Amino acid sequence: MQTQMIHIDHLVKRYGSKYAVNDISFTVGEGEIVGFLGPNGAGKSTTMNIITGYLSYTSGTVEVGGLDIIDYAYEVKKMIGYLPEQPPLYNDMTVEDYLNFVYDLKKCTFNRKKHLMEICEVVRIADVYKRVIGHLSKGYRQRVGIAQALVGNPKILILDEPTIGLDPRQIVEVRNLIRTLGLDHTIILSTHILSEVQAVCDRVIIISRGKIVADKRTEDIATAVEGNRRISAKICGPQKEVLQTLRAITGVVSAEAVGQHDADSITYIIESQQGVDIRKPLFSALAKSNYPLIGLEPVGMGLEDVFLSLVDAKEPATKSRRKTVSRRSSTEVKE
Amino acid sequence: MLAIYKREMLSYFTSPIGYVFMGVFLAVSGFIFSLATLQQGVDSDVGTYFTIMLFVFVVVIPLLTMKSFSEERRSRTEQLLLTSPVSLFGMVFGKFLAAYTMFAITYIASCFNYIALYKFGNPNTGQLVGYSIAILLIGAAFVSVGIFISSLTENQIIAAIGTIAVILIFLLASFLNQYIDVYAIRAVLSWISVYSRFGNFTHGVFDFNAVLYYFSISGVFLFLTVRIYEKRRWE
Amino acid sequence: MNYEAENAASSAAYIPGAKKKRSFWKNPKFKFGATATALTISFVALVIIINVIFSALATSYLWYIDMTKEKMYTISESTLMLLDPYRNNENVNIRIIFCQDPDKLEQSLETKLVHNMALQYEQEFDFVKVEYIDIVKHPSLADPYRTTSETNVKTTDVIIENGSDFRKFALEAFYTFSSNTGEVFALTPSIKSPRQSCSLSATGQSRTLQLAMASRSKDRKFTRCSKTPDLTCAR
Repeated sequence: MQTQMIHIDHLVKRYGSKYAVNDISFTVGEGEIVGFLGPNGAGKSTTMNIITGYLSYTSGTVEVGGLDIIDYAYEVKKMIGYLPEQPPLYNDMTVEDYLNFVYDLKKCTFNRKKHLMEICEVVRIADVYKRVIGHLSKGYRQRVGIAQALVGNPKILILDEPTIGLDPRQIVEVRNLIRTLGLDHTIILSTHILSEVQAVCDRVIIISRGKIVADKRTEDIATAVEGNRRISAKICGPQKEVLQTLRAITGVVSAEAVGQHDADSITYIIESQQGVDIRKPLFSALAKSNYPLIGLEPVGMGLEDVFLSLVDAKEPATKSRRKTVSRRSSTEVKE
Repeated sequence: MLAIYKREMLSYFTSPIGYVFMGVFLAVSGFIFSLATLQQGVDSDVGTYFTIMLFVFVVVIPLLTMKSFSEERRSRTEQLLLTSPVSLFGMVFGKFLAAYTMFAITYIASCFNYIALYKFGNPNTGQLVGYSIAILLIGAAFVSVGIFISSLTENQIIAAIGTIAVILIFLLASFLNQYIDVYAIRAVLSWISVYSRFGNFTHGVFDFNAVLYYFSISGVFLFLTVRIYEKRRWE
Repeated sequence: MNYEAENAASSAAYIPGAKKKRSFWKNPKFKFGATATALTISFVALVIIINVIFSALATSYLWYIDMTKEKMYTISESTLMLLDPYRNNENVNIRIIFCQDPDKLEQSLETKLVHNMALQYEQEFDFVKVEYIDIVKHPSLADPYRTTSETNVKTTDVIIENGSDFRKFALEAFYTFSSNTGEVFALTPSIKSPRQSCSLSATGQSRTLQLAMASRSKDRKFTRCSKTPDLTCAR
């Protein structure tokens, strides 16, 4: 049993003097749902095209299921279901003909009718099964595209911007679908919608200009950049004394008052050392001094902030700092 | 490969193209046949019919092949094909075979024309067979040219025009010969020319040379199509 | 969807970690770049070369199938019988000289037949050689064959020479034709088998050499009137 489903090592794809993919390495384990996040032109689609065998690479190694994609091209392609940015649909075919075609193409050996019917149910296109693809709405077309990727029950699904162009209801449906599929399949999906990654993926790989700038579990991504953890707390009591108390707690790096929303409480941003969870000591300290703690929330850099800071890392320092500062203040205001 | 073949055949019949091709082919062949043979009466030579049909192919075969690859490129469905466990050769050959099947079936259907010959005269069956083999091979060659050209562009019209141009070159290469004095150049041009090789068949000779040549054209163009895709993948 | 069993079965063949030695042809070097282009070009060149070689062999060894009913492209039995006695005769050296380049001869059926006959003789009998002179470019080459200063040598003429003796035949000599329309009816056996009398002086003795170009038996005719049997064809 392969636990390493996809293994990419120092992958480079060069067009003349331009690098579309510049030394990317990562590994995806079985059953993971990984999100590729990055601005347009970062290399997400290129990397996916390389993994699926549509493009070849300049140097590096790509292994899927333990097999090199050049030596074992056939076997690898059988293991992967791919939904490209533009779903490869034949407008003159019916859904039924099309899925049968894909079934033959992938050389499947299951019970044909049963397998295709199951896919249609999962993806919810059973009611348009006999219709010509060219006549379907965008939402249905996208679902047919996903269905096509599912034919043959490949272990790995690679989805390039699966929710693009869909209306909000359809987006939710597709995301739920992906989550369901994630139970049985290894999935890589790419998107530039940040909330999508947060909603669906276990792990995020941020790509910018052909390089990986971050590769972390979704919940860790914010802290990874920030370093320290920050909490926003609503505390009743005189500001100066409260601040004194806060700063006296071990593990607290800094404490700032940021605003007064309620009549009797002030919001403070407390920064603690990385890895130190000060929520309990905070409670104890405040209780001892009798300053009621009426609100407590973690403040991370939102994924947006992380994304922008990482992606803009190459830009002049002043600019990025300004951006993160403004972001910080806007999230603070929200609190 | 079989999957691609089936799909192509299906698309020839779910879209007008298959019917238009067969219709035009049969209609034109019937017309020319009667013109060349029955109407001429005594003086007829079935070779004329075949020679004219070669020129009909110039227009009719691109109809069949113009969409094979250009449409796939345009609508990006080739991405599906290239990421599936199918070899490049299988993909190219599947499409070629589908277009060629259409051509072959239609030609064989047009052989009903020859029944008239038997009724009114005493044709040389051996010669008819020889002609038919030559036509089938030339058809394969032209179809392979069409497939290659359609893989070069996304635009069907350009593919069609390009195919017409290349087929014409193959057919007409030797027409310049009457103006050329140098034997060597004439030899090269008539070597290229499908038309001049076909001349042998009309004179009653079954020329193995020509057979090899027609096979070679098919082989070379299909090979080139595979190479084009190979090149695209690696760049 | 539980397809574990089936998926497991298909992947059972692969031992994790085992590396298949990369197939030689999959080396990226062959796939793109200069090497790939060179490979492509050399393949096409190879095909061309094979064709050319085959061509050359086929024309010199006359590989083809005679599709005509009348078997016009085969030497008849009577000819073989006639010319056999001369096979080992060292004094007999026949040159058949055509006045055009070979490819022009192939274009018209009449000249083609004569040419083909000549080539067959060349292949069959050691003492026959076929040559070509270009009397358009080099008119002086025709001079030895002009019996008087007034006669002209035409490009369709055929000259048969043995040693110092020769006879010039117009193309029409090989056929019988209607004097009205000029239309060719048949290959006249008698004229197509010109009794070539060449005086040979060898050690003072003259010998008459009978050379039959073709001795056609009665039923072998080239005729355009196969469809109207009541038209008698001249023999």
